Amino acid sequence: MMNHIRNFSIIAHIDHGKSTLADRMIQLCDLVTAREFKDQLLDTMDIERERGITIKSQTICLPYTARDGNTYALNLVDTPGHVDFSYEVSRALASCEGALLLVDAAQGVEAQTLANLYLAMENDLVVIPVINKIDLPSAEPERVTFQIEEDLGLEADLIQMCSAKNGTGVAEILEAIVTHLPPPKGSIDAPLQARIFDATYDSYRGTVISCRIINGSVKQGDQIVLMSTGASHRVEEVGLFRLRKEPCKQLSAGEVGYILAGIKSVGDAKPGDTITLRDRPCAVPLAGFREVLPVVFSSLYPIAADDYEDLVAALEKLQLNDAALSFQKDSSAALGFGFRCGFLGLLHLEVVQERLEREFDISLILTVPSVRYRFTLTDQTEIMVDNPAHFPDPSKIARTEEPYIKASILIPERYMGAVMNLCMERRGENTNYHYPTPGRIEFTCELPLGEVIYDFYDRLKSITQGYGSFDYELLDYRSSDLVKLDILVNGEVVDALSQLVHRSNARERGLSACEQLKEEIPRQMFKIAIQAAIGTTIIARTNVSALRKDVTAKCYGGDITRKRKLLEKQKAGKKRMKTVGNVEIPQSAFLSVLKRDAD
Amino acid sequence: MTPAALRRTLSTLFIGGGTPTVLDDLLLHQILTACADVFGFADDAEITLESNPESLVERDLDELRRYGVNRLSIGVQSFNTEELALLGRVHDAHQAERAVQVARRSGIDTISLDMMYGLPGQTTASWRDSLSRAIECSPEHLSIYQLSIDDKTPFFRLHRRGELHLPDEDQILAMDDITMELCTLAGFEQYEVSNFRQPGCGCRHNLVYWRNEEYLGCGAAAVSYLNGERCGRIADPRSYCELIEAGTSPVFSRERLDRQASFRETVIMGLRLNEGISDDRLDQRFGCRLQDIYGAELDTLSADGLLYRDGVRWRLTTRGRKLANVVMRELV
Ligand SMILES: Nc1nc2c(ncn2[C@@H]2O[C@H](COP(=O)(O)OP(=O)(O)OP(=O)(O)O)[C@@H](O)[C@H]2O)c(=O)[nH]1
Ligand SMILES: [Mg+2]
Repeated sequence: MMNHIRNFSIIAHIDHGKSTLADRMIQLCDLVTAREFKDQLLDTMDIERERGITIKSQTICLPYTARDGNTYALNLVDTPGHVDFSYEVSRALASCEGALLLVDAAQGVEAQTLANLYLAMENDLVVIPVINKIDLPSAEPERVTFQIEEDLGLEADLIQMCSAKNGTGVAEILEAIVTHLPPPKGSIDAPLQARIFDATYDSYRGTVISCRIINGSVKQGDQIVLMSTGASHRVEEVGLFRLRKEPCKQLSAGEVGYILAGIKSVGDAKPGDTITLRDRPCAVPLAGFREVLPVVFSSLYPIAADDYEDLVAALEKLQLNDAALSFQKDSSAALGFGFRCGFLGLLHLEVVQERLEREFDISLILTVPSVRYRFTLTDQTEIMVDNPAHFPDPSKIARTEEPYIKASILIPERYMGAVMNLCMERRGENTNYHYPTPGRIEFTCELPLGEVIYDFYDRLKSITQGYGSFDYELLDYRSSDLVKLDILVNGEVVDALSQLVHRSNARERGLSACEQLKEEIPRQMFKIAIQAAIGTTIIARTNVSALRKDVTAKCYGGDITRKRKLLEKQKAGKKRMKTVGNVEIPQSAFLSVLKRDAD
Repeated sequence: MTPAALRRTLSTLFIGGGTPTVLDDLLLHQILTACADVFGFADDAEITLESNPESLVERDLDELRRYGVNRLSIGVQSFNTEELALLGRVHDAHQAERAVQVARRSGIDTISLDMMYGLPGQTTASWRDSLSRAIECSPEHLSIYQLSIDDKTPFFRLHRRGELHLPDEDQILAMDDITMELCTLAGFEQYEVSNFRQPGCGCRHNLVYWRNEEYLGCGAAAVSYLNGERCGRIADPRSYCELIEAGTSPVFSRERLDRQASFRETVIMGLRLNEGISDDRLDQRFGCRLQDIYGAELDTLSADGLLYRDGVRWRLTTRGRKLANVVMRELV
């Protein structure tokens, strides 16, 4: 039985074609009708489809009849490639024996290719390298083969070549999965031991637990126990992940599937927890998952104050499907009541914002994102501050520390100077580099996290014309010298625009914040003064001139509807602005102050 | 066409949209006779023909007048040859002047000139010159439009690339002052955001739009507003013809507003007119007045000096006319 199961993840750098390869495999296994099919079938969330990226891992069980005549159950996990969601990858890998490591034939090995390969190795998985997109005119399969051997140290004769787009080579990959990846180990007769790797909330059926059965089996009617809490529940249904959930009689060792057990709150089914049977428990729980810690913090405020209650409810709901999101109450003089939230990175922050706006229809303002700083005060107490509003009285600060990361950046050699320059601008230290293969550089550098949270990645992409890729790990806290940069609009401090910056950057950041705001704040009927200040010292200023003419020249019979709709749209846009004093500040302005001019 | 529409007689007719003077006399004659046969014209019907200077010069205007055309709207745009070239016009300043003189001599009652300012490279001096020359032609009516840079036009692309040297806001406001100065001096009265008339010579046809009253539109891209419903016809002329010949309706968008939305639309259209909107008229038509629909908006706009009340009428102030979109965004 277990010999006919293969559990594997598809891992790669962002956009190398994981979800597209999953599509082809699903089609080859006849799991989807032509009518039901759409590209990146496993990217089910609106925001995934719109942005063309995977955010959450998705599992699907494919019935595959191999050339040896046997039918195998292939449990495929499609994972996200973006660095913010790498915890999704590590959870997925924990329930697999093997991984397909995709490499784009034109892009070659990139930072997350390496990072994800390391994750697979930590989990002792068998890795099959796959060179994808060989149909591209710019594909260089020989060069990439060389990189896979040299950069990654994987065996060249294992490499599969394919085009996930047109299907070339996909059948061979399915065969390779069956022949090269080991079947799961474990014993059906041992007591139940299953690891939760995800939990989602279904408003009709309660919590849906996704799990991998390591030992034993589970079926409807069983009393299961969640080992971290000891809570027990009666199993209502077990099943497999096909395109939809498909109930089955039982799940047993080696299999991946879902359990419905009337669990009311997703919080009660923690990923990493072990499930066993009440009447025949296993001796020890399985190793859990490392906790994911937020690194970027920002406050969310509803634009309309009476949306506050809805925001509370929405955040609670969202957290059910996104355990990485953390939040607590916050308030601002300019913006009223809101929440301070912790995110895994900027993309995670954007995703949360978009989901709140889209799925819960709440217009939000996000304040300037910040990292978490450590202050030691003169009385030796230590405080952690992730909100500029809580910046301590500077005369009471004995020591300031900020988090550092180790960035690793893969680039073609010719971009070395530009990348080095970018890292120096961002206060980089201890730079180092080596040549994994001729012509390519792996550049490492220690950087303050606060310097990379906003546009570092975008800037890297632009200065390397898309060829640079980036990965990072948190290092430690290091001594720093911070000041609080305030922004005044028509003489009033807008607390939500304040940020903590390194003293050496303060003037430049103040100037750039003023310039960005000038671009973002629409002209109003009076002149608007924008100033940046440290304490009471103004360090930068600019103005938004008064609007003196705004009228549509032509409006005749054929124009009325269009002109009216345009005005209505602009009127709705105004509702998405926050009035501070008498100035209307658009949503986008709050994040813009962190942007730096791309020279 | 609905029977109800057929029962109405035409009090104004506007043949426009592009360059209807490319039609030969025979076709124009056929259109006018068809209108007379199907609907009939009121005794004092205003019949406007839109035209370009270059197509007017070789035209037999007496013939047009005999068909009943009593108003000519000429797309002069500018009397500056460089500006005309930039606008992609084929006529030059000289031809424009000649065309207006020809029209004047034909004895057509009302002549209106379309002029444009805010053009790339235009200066206050060149605008003063252009507008003066327009006024010297002694038209009864002037439509004076500020250039607007719409999406998808070649101007828009140039503008985005920063290659269009448009006059700045100070210069535009100075041009507005020149417009008011010259028009007032020559006895013109502004009666709509972009329209000026000699006493008694307002465009009755366009007043229907601004008062948000009903009209019938025919032809590609034409819009009708009949019995509370606005219908847009397909814009592509070839498809339009195919649909008509196949006996199918060329209407592809229909819109019927509820009473409140229609009230709001009437208000924003009406505010374009210097006469403003009459609360009494609104009350007769919708059964409510401005204060019934709007609340604090009216006070704020009045306090900001954009809107004022004059007896039963609400009007834009001089400042409000320059910032009309600010007002309309509140009231739409
Ligand atoms: N030419 C070509 N394009 C491909 C191929 N495979 C994928 N693509 C394209 O590459 C882009 C990214 O594909 P996805 O499958 O969404 O990539 P992904 O690895 O799942 O991306 P993330 O989930 O965001 O990490 C899409 O535009 C695909 O159409 C291929 O074999 N050939
Ligand atoms: Mg994907």
